[in-house]
Amino acid sequence: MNSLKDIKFKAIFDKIDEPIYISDPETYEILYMNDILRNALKNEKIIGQKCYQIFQNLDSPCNFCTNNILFGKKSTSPYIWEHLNTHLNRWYKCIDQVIEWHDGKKVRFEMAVDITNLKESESNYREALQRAEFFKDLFAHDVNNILQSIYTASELIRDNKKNPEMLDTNDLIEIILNQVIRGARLVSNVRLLSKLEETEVPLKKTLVNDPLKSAMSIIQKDCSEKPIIELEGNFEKKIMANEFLVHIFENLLINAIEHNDQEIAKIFIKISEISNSEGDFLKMEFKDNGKGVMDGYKELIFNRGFRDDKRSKSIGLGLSVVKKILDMYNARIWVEDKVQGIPSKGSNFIILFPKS
Amino acid sequence: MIKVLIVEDDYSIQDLYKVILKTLGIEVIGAADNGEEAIKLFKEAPIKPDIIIMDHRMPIKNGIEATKEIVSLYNHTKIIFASADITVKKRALEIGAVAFLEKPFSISTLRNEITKISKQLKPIQ
Repeated sequence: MNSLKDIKFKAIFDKIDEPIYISDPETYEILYMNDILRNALKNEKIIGQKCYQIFQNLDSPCNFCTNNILFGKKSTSPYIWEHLNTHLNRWYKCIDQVIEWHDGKKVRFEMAVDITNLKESESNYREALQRAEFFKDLFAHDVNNILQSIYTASELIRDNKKNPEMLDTNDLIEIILNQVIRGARLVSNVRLLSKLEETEVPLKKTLVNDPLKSAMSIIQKDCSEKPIIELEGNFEKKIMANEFLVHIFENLLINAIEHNDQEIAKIFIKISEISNSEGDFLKMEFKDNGKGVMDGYKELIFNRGFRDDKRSKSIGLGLSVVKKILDMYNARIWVEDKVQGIPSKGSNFIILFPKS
Repeated sequence: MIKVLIVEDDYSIQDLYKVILKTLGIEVIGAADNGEEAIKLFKEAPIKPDIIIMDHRMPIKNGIEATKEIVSLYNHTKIIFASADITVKKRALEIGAVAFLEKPFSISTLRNEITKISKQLKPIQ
């Protein structure tokens, strides 16, 4: 039974480029394998060994074995299924068929077509679809909201000429300017998010101080109402990061200024070192005097992106970009009330960077 | 005076709605930035709004879900959907919205809808 000389299709099977084997459904012993599989396994003593040991590196029959299906049905048609072989880390499309062995016994024939590349293509395709959906949603929602604000504010300014006492046009002009900035920032963050998805920038020891100063300087330059930013602690610390670190600080500062009704936005940035059961961390806190984040939103605000949480806050991508970069650094971010239980008193965005 | 509840998660648009409605002599009884908050405000309002301007894509609870709940609570309030997501127009109208305004829309479009609805409003018995 060790050879396949009695099987008239041996010559055909040996010429097929996909792995084929035949096994005994009762003993799980391998009765035959074609040349391509024999060469791939580089093992001369496979015939007679258990299929689950050779193909899956298991000590007992696989829990996904299809013998029950194959030998339990009356139909003679093949059973086709897909399987991730965790031993080889490859995806296979398996075509199983009951055939008659030379002694008349019904045995298991399996041809396993390697579809790993196809699976990767499918995954890339799904990713591309998600991206397309994301951009569609971005235009359908965020851009149209920006346009709505600009449209309405412009119309109100135009109509206000008839009744100048009714409205303060300076406020409306401010709305238009803010919406233009918001649009530009949206475009910039979409570009950044896209870059984060597509490229892998290695991490290196990076001083916290330099990107923080850069971000503060960008903010001071861009804001018409200059915020007050106070620092506490030694920022001459190094973390494992890359060129995107500045975008974390920039987005957190913008967030503190934009979501703020006070005449002057005040931001207090503190750095400290902490240790807990998970390890040693550099802790950064960004406390502001803004509108705060209501409890129901505290997680949602970080969840926007290509794999969008449809419940996420609709405006802006800033905090999602922050989260995405921090994930790359194995760092954590969350938001707390600056004054516990009173969100309206402002927020405290906390980041834990693993100490390098 | 017609009473309106604004449900919109974009605060800039919320503010502009308030300005428009003020110029039209309409009272804004409240503003919510998500569907859940809208339902809460609606339930708590001693006098129910005549009109709700409802966005769709909002955190926690979207406009369709909020509309369904509000309509089931009290069907005299007229709901104007105002969303950039045209794909929900059919659904919004099916579940009881009286109009769908696709963003960006003009002030006159909103004004015309409110005028049309205000003519249909019947005094509550």
